[in-house]
Amino acid sequence: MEPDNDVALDIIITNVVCVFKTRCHLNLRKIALEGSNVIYKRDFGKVLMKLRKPKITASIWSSGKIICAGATSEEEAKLGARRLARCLQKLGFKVVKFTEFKVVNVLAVCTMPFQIRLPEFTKSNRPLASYEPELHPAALYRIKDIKATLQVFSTGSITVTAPNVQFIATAVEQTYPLVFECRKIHI
Amino acid sequence: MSSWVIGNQKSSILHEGKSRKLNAKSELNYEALVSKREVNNGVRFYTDELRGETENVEAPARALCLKMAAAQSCPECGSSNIIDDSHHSQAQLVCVDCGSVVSEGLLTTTLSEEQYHMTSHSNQYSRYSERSVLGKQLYRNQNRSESGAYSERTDKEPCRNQIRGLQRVSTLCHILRFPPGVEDSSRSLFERAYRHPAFLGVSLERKEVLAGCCVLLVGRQYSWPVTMGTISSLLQADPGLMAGVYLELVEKLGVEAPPTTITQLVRSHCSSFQLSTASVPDQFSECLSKLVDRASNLVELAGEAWIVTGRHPVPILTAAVYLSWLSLRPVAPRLATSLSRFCKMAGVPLPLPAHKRLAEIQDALCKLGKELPWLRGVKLDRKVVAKHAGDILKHRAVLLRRAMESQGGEEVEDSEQAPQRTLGAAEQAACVTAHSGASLSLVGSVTQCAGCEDKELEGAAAAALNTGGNEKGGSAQGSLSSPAGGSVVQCSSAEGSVKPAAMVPVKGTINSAQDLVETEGPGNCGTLPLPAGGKRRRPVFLPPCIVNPPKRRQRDKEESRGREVTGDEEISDSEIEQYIRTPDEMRQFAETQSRLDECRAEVSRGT
Repeated sequence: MEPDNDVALDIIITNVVCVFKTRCHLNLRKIALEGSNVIYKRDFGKVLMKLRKPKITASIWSSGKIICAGATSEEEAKLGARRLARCLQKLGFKVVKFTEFKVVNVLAVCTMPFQIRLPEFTKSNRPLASYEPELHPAALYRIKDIKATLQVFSTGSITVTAPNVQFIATAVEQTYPLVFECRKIHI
Repeated sequence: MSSWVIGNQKSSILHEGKSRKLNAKSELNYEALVSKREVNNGVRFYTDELRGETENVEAPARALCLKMAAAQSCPECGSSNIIDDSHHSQAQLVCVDCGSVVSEGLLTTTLSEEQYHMTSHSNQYSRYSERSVLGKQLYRNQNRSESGAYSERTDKEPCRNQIRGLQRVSTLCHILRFPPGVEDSSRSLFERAYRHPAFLGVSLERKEVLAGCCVLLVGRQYSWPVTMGTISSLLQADPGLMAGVYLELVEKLGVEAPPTTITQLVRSHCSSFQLSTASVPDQFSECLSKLVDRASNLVELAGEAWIVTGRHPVPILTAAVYLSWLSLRPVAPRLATSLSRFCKMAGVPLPLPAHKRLAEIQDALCKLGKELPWLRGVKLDRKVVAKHAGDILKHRAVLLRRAMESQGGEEVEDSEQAPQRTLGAAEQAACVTAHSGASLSLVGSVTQCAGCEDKELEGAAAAALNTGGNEKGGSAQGSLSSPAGGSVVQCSSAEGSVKPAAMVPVKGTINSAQDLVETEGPGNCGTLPLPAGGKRRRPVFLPPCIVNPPKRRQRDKEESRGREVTGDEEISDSEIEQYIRTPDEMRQFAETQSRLDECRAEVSRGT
């Protein structure tokens, strides 16, 4: 291996979803009344609260379970969740705690420096890969052990969904040689 | 997702816009519904089959009566001369010698009779309708085994829905003209899927769609040109539901089926266009074989030009057939016919994306047509290119090579200018595609194959950053050296959290997409060797979304810059106060809310 031949692949994390529990009952009506940047979804029994920094959207249920989405890193997700818990404390729910925090999903985008022939990629990676052009323009590739799902587009763009950032990197590492073999060679 | 149909299979089961679901009631009325033009042997055969099946239901019951009559003797006179007689449609066993009724009501037709005969133990020969719901319930309560099973029979009779599903499968196979072997495979797959736990307790709608999915799956296994849209149209099913059931079927049963390629669909799609001399005037009519050949060539070219990958096949096929029709005889009346008018004339529905696909195919033809020697200097546009499509398709391999040399080749700048240009392109890419401040950069080592040329490695670095870039930004060719050994990438840092690489040392830490651009761009260009000869080859055809990238919202630069975030920072009260309303705001909000509720109540009372 020669260091001069290194190729940089950018993986841009676009979304991190996390959950945590407050361990107390929350009055959604009170949150909707006293909180700003709040949307009360009465039909679904939840409240949506949006924070500016970091830019996240939280779904709050009366049971105390909260899902935060929109962060761009795991640390940012944790910070946003803590800010949200602090906000709920300020709203009057003094017994709110920040417990069972967990990152459940990370979405990242990576672009390969070549185009990919999807029928060939699907054929050589069955049954993990499936490609239905009538349903979706990308080929779907699942890696079971790390629970990662990749959407491989013909342009070379790959969307990766995994439980955490480490698995994202592992998924791209495992997939690169597979897509490299199916790259489009221009004569 | 809309569904489009290949061929005229839809019209063989529908009648001029009236749609009927494949159910027991409407199946018998098909002969009346199907128009004269569309009656075919398949549909007639199906209706005859169904008629024959209903007639055979009564035969076993009759045989049972005869059997019982032979076994019994008259309790009055002891005679064994007992015949089966029916009194007002009620079956009875009557002694010929003395005239007494030995037994009656063996075959029940009403609910109360079933209940009586099942609960009373006097008549051990009493039967019940095995296919009725009550019959099953009564049977269930009486004959439940110790293990709790309703029946320990391994050869259970199929239930009503399964029979209907099998009939549906057969009908679809007849309509699609499947050979008998394929039909048998479809039926066996349906039986297997129906009994799978994943499809046992599902809704009737899903079971109906399951039949179509089995037909589709088996058709693909036998390389039969049939699309999902065709079957969902025949079943009048929701395409989204069909997609979900199909994917679940493939996953649960572990059945592999290669997707139908677009070239396999060309012939069946062409045959659906009514362009014979009997249907259209002579100047518009066309021979099917010529149309198929020309359309196949156009579809191959479309595949080369990145028009096919990831797109729905039917609009591409429609556009290809239209262009073929134009190019086979480019007379004035044909050239004046638009795509929508052509589809109307040919009796084929026009998919909405067909216009875009037509434009893309015409652009691809124009690009190649410029290389024809006798067209040099001629202004070639979408309207005129159909006349020369035949020549272009005939020599497309040569034209593609010439187009690569003339349109694609350009000299690359020296190394000082390249980073700036790359930086510019990468900045543009960052503006276009940067979603966040966090980016995870993977720096990999790519081993070089012996004999491989390092052609576009510089372009590879630029292209890696130029995710939504334009053509001039350059895209790396596929002639990158292959990783002969596999492991390519290592994890780098994202927003300060470093994940050390296991195999290869991390090359640089990345904080944000924008910082990445500034640090990685020049660095990479400096390290990557220039291709031999100093020329970079640009492909003639690129995916349309790369050529015309979608406009993306440009985020605030401050937001996109990465900050050092650990997740455990102190949270000050001032940050939180912005999310809490003041008492005045709360009061105003409550008042506004109450007024809105009153207005809504008044409106609802008024309506």
